[in-house]
Amino acid sequence: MGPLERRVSDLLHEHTPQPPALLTVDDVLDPHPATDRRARVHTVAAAALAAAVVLAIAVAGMILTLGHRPSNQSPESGNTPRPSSSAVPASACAAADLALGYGERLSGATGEHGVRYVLTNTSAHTCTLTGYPIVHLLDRHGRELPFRYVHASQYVTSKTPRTVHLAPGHSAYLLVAKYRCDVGDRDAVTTIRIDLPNPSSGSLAGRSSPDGSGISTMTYCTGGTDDPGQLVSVSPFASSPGATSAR
Amino acid sequence: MPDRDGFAAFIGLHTRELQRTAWLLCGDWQSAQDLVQSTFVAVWPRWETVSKADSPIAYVRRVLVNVHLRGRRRRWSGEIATGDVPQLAAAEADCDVDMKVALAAALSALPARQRVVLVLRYFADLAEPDVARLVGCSVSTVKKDAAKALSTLRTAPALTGLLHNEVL
Repeated sequence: MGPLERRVSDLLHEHTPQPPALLTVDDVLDPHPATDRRARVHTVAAAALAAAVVLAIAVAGMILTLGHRPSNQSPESGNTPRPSSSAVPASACAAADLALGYGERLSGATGEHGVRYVLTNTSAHTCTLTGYPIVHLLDRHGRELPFRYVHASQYVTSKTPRTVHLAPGHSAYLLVAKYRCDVGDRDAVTTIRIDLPNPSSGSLAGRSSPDGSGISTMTYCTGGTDDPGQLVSVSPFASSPGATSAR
Repeated sequence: MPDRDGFAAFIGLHTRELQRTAWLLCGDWQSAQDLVQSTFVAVWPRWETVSKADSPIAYVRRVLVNVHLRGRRRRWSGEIATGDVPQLAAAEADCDVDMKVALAAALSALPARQRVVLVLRYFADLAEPDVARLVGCSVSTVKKDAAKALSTLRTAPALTGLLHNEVL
């Protein structure tokens, strides 16, 4: 090593600052502080209890009359529809059975961008996934962005959900797509949390995109709550990547 | 399910070095932390295999470099991450801010791959063949990139006086 190389090496070693905070495994695998999650659960539970009758009627009406009419997933509204425990098969997958991975990104001329997620059964037993996941998109600070969620779009299938049986090592697929921000970007989505339909099955969390360094095709737009760019489409669990897409 | 405890131990052992490496690549702590976090998230599903490799850190460094270079190629890399000023000021009160700014400015003048080569070669102290494997290029390309990067740093205004005249 020559003198200039040595000097540069010394410079880098001596003057590269120490990180202000060190990442932990919890930052990587569970980016939400436990207290925040507990508070969220309590808030949702209280709101859901208070509005149970009204919501049940409203949601039932939506399902009966509109088929795949979107359900509002915002935790602030507390009206996230979930199947009752009795409707969940005994072998429903728990979050601990699954590993979150990534499929391809979709970005077409339609203005809609999507990311396909892969849920792999890492347990030793077969389990099932039924219906729609409940998706939460969060910014870099772990704050949930108030998107509106629907269950069909140009990219995302409108077909009726089918139960996916996952043998050990097998994967289910999920597509999340969002229309671009025409007015402007406000907050980048960095993290996705996927709640399984049965509340007791838990959640998976990870980066919202497979390769983004805190930057994603999914951003909360500057146009307010009515901005078309705040619309996120979520597919049901599917047994193949293609089954998550509109054909 | 991969071994969470083993993964946690690995993160505890290597995160400081990886975050500092990422800072040299990105130039700010927010992007550096995002880069390292993305790297660990990408590694986690394969941790069972990675942990049994001869050198898990070599694999993780390679993922970090790939994630970084991929991010640089995308148009969204125009984002400039900013943090809360009070937190940064408190956290960095004991470091040489002028030197840090000068170093970041000089590194920002380098093309992405030259910067990666420089950091891996002279901060991570990897041999040229190891850098070549990580970056996915030949050893001669690593030598050329390193030479160009050193040449740029030697004339960087931000580092005037820091690299002694006798080595120029």
